[in-house]
Amino acid sequence: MTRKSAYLLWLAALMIGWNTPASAQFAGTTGSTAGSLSSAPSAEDGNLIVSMVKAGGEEFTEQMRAGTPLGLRACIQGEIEVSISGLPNSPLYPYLEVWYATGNGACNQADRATRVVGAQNCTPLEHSRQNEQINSFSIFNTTVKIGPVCRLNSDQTNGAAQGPQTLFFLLLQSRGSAEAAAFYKAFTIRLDTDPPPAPDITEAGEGQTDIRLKWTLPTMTTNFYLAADYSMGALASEDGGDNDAGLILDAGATPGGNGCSSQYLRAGNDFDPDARPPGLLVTSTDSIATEWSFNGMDFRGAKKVPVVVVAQDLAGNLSVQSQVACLTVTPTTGFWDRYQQGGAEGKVEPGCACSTPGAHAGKASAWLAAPFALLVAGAFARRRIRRRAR
Amino acid sequence: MSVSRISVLAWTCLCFVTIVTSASAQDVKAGTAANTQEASQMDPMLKPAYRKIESPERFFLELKGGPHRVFSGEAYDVFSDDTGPNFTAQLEGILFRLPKALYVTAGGGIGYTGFTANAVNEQGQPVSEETTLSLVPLTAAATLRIDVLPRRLRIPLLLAVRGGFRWTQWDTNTGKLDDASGWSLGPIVTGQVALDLDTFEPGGARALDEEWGINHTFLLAEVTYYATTDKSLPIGGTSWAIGLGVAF
Repeated sequence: MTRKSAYLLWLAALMIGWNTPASAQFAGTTGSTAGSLSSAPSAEDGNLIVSMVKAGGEEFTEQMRAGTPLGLRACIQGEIEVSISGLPNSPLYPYLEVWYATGNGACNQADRATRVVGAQNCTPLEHSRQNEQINSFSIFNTTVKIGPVCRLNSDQTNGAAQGPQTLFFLLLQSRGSAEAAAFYKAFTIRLDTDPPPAPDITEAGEGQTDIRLKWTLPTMTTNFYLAADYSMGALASEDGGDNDAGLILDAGATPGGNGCSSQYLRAGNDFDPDARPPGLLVTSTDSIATEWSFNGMDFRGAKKVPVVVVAQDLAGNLSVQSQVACLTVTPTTGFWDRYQQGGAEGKVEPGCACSTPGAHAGKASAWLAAPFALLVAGAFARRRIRRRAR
Repeated sequence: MSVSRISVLAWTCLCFVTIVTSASAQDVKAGTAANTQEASQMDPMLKPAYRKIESPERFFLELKGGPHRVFSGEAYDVFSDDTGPNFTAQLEGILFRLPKALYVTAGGGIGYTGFTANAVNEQGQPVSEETTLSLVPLTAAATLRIDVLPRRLRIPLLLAVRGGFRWTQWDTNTGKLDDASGWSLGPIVTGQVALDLDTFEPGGARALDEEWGINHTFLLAEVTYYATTDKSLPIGGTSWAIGLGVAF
């Protein structure tokens, strides 16, 4: 390849990839010689945004940036696919290969020549995928399963394999070639399968429409799930049951009762945020928070409502359930209720210029207008006086 | 349009008109006598023996606050531990000035006071849910401000008395329920004593005037009596506030 053509290809890659950072998942760079891929991921990794799709086609709700942790939950839910688009169009290099290596390890030419599947050092994920040819150009718009990365690492309990993993995207001239890649790019992802610690509930409030729950914030937490069991003892556990109703009832409770125990919400148990059995209210904070306010009206008559908090870290790992706290739903009396009950040294019904829900009195308007008009008139009068003086 | 929106709109218009009229009254067009005088002061050969250094005075601005506990009665006892405080900004235009003696000003003020307490359950015990009462008083007033003591006798005391009318928009909630809202109307009377800071540091006061156009600064303390009408929520009473005022 001449330097001029290499430059043109590099320029095309720039236009396609780097100028659209939000959508370009691949930024190509040229290897003018039979170079190795031993270099560390470049600074452009931060521009990588890949959407992950489960095996069933269901979209994973988060986007993964280069270097963003890929958590256990994302791995165990199925194959994770990295969607790639914006690859450089090249008639000369129509084959795409994707390799990965642990850490910031290399996938150089010699490593790729071995083609050893499952090797920790350099493992191919996709071999020589030839892409669609349109007008002699290769149109790369494909997905690459990185599930093997999860499988090879997430099952390890010692956590030694956690941490950075490097994906290498290569464009080659021929299928299965061990040639030096003309276009290559390395991206770093990071596996993090350690769950965050469970939050610690510090306050479970009492009230009618504003029942506060407070908890402490585990480090590295980005999100919280709050689960409140308002079934009054009727909610089944995930274990199923063999009683008449086919349910395992909350411990010490009977259907229709109103204790504050829950068989479903148990301290230290795993938590499934996607489960929505009747009688369970699950709320996500979607932010770092240490406080939440429940509306007791959502609990449909329950008086005692057990609640747990579950933390989620940046990789999507969930903590186990916190200790079970108890929210209390009770009718409350505020200032206005007491005022209406006649306790004040004033009118029981403040009529003029007062409004209660459903009622409104507009007598204040006339009171408002007159003094304002006087002031405005005074201001204009002052202005005329000043002009005359000038 | 609700009463609150009408009031806010009117208030905005008042401030705008007051500012525009006061500012335009002080405009000096090019070529006028005042401008010529200023130009001549730049020339040391033409500089007059006496040079007025004070910038024009147009407004008084007061920023003040203080505890606000004007309630009485069993219903208000829920707020017995909460004293606000209230914060108020008051802007007045100078309508009349008798040099070194007194001002007559008129303008308005806006403030905020919030009260929060725990609601009570059926047993009368406080719970974590809160009940709130927020007050936004809008005041239109005229003020007689006497500065003869500091200007002629160098006694740093300013005296002022203010009379006007106040519209207080109130809103009360319990938990996430909006219980009620409305307006409480009534006249106000305020007595104010202020410590004139210019007397203590005339050089600094002059520099402040030359740099920022602030003619006078003072620390104020005032007592206000607010008498709400019979049909209003009785949130009136006596309150006091301290703050900082400037004339500019």
